[in-house]
Amino acid sequence: MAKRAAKTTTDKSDADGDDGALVRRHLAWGWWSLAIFTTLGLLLEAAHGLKLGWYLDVSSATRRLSFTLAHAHGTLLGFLNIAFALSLDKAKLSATAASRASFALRAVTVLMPLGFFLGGMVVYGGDPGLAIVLVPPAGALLVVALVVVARGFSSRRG
Amino acid sequence: MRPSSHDSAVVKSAVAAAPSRPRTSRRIVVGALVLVMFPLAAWSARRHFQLERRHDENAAIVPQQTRAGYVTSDRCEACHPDEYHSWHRGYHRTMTQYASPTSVRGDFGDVKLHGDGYDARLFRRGDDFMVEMIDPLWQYEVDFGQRDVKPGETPPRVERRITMVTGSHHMQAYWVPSLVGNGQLSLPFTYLFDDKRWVPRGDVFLHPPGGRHQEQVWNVSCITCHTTGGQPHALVGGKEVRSQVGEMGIACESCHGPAEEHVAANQNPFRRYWLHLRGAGDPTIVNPARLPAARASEVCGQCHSLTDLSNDIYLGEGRTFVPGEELERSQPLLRQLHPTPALAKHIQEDPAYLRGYFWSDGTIRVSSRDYSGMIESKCNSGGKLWCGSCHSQHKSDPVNLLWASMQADSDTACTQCHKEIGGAVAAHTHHKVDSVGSRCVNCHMPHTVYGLLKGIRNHRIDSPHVTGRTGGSERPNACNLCHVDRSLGWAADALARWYKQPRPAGLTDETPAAITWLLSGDAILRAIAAWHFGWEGAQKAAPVADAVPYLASALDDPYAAVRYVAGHALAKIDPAAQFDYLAPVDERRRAGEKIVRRWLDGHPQTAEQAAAIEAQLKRLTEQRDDRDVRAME
Repeated sequence: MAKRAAKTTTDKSDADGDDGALVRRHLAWGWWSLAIFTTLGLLLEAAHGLKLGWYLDVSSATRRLSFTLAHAHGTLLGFLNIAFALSLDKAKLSATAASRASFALRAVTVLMPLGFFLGGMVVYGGDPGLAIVLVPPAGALLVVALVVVARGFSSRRG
Repeated sequence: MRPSSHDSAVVKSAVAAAPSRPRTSRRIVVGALVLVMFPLAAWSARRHFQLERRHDENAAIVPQQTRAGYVTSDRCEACHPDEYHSWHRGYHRTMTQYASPTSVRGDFGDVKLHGDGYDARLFRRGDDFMVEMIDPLWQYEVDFGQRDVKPGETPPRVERRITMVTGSHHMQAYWVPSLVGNGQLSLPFTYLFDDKRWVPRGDVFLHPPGGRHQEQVWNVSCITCHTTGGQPHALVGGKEVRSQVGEMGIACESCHGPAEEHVAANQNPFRRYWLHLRGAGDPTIVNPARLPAARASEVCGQCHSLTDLSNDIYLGEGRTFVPGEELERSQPLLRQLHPTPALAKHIQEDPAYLRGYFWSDGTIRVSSRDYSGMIESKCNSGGKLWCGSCHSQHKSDPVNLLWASMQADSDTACTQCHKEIGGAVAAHTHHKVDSVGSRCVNCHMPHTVYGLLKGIRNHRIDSPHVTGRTGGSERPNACNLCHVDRSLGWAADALARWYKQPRPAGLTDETPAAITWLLSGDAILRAIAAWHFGWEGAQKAAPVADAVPYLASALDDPYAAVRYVAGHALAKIDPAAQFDYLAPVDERRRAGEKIVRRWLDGHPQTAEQAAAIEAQLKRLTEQRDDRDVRAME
């Protein structure tokens, strides 16, 4: 019994330790995302200020849209990472579910802004470059992560 | 602790007794919001219904998007934003527009106009542009012998809304409904942008004096080239007209063909990326740049040429030419140098037919027929030259559509093939490298096309030569259009010396060729010569001011268009020279005399010199080719 209690305590502390690592990881990802993609926003504003033709010309409309989407999605995903980290102790997620959601969220945080950004580097008229193929799977991963977390909050498990 | 009923009563009374300030403030806020929102909502609704009404009205004028296979430029922008916008800022798009405050450029501020036997009052009614004029249908029937005017009959007058405008670059013509189907007839006045004035419609064209401008039917005269996929349908039910267009103006599908299949196929993103990555063309649409040179030029040639349009094109189903197809199949070219039975038929119907289009050597001489000029060029026989060698719809200055990399009048267009000349310009031109005489186009594409009240570069690319004949409809040579103070003999000597050209016999007249053309040529030649005295190339190469007495004499030309061109050339020589080409003859003569007096102040002449000028003027004017000519621009 005592052994069992000791094991439970160990499991709990392991889980707490895992959760703590996950929280720190996503806080780090979130804040770094915010830092990187607000910097990108600053660069885009500078492009407007300096009237850079490569970014502002009519022929660059697709590039402008892609870069703007990279900036916006990257920033919002930064917030989402922070929100995920702060939600972990309230959501009733199993370790596996938390790990899956974490992986999906981190993958999205990389793939989605990267797809938009690289897609804007080379454009074909109204179509972004081929790197845009990163975006749809990233969008699917984001949905997976959100559903996993939402299920954790709606679970009745003690 | 639960509150007692006493407490509850106290609370209620306290609430009742509480000052009503918050509630009053809320009411003020709500009231203010309503006050602001209601007018905004009302304005938005009104605007919405106005736009709806205008859309319905436009559809009633001439409906768009009705020809099978056409989707309009609206569908092109999403995938081709750069191409769409480069087209949108150009003048092809605005060739025909529905009348609106953004498209109408003429002065409609309660203006009364008279001239050429017409009078009209132009005014605004809200966003509508209105005209009060002789019933255009009545006028049309009179003009074309379908109605006899009884003695003392007063033409009926009507008030009409301007429905459409043609042109947005140099001048603008206007159209009003005929009320026979959706037939549109011309407002008999045109607005000239540079001059900021209205002139009778007939006086913007070069045509024999005395002739009155006849009512034009837009659905027949203009729809074929000034819209995309236009279908006149002007014979349905005899007098009925039910025209429709793919799109107003000259839009994407004029040059790329109907795009319905292309749009449908490319809704598939995998197809689009497959095409992007392959870098190959899309077989569902025509890209003129990927066509063989001859086929590609025909895309422009469908409008910028003289072709034999069948009655079905003019009056029925409209043009059947699709970019990429052979133009000859549906629109056989009419070329003086390659006569056909179709051309013979036109000449039989109108013996002056050729004079309206061609110089005597078979070179086209009226505007909007540049393809007809280009195909007669030696350069064209190499199989490489096409319109896109120098022009681009999408990467160009919208004024001349020359490639952005080719400055106007630069040599780049020619030296991309003639590299050896580009490397030794002066040796070839015998002019200073940086002079107008060393610019390829000034010698090989001089302004020997007349249109839009000015000289325009001829697209028959050839070398200057002197034939020995002057006057009539003889094509003027490039040398004497720049050196307007020199004789034909002088030019012939230079060409013989530099290029071993044979010198024609009998070139003894020392009169400057340009002066001879100005006073003795036919009306198109006179207009071309007059224009050159105001051209900056001639102004750099010759003392053009010496020609003022001759140009002043041209102010008395029987052709209004020649007077217009001569008056503008004089104004470029002496900005103080004021002249109204439509003023009564006495007033015009007085203006001419005043200009000459001003010139004499700066250029004193001895009695002998003055007499010599007078004699020369008299001699050359007496030799004037007065055969009727109408520039079929």
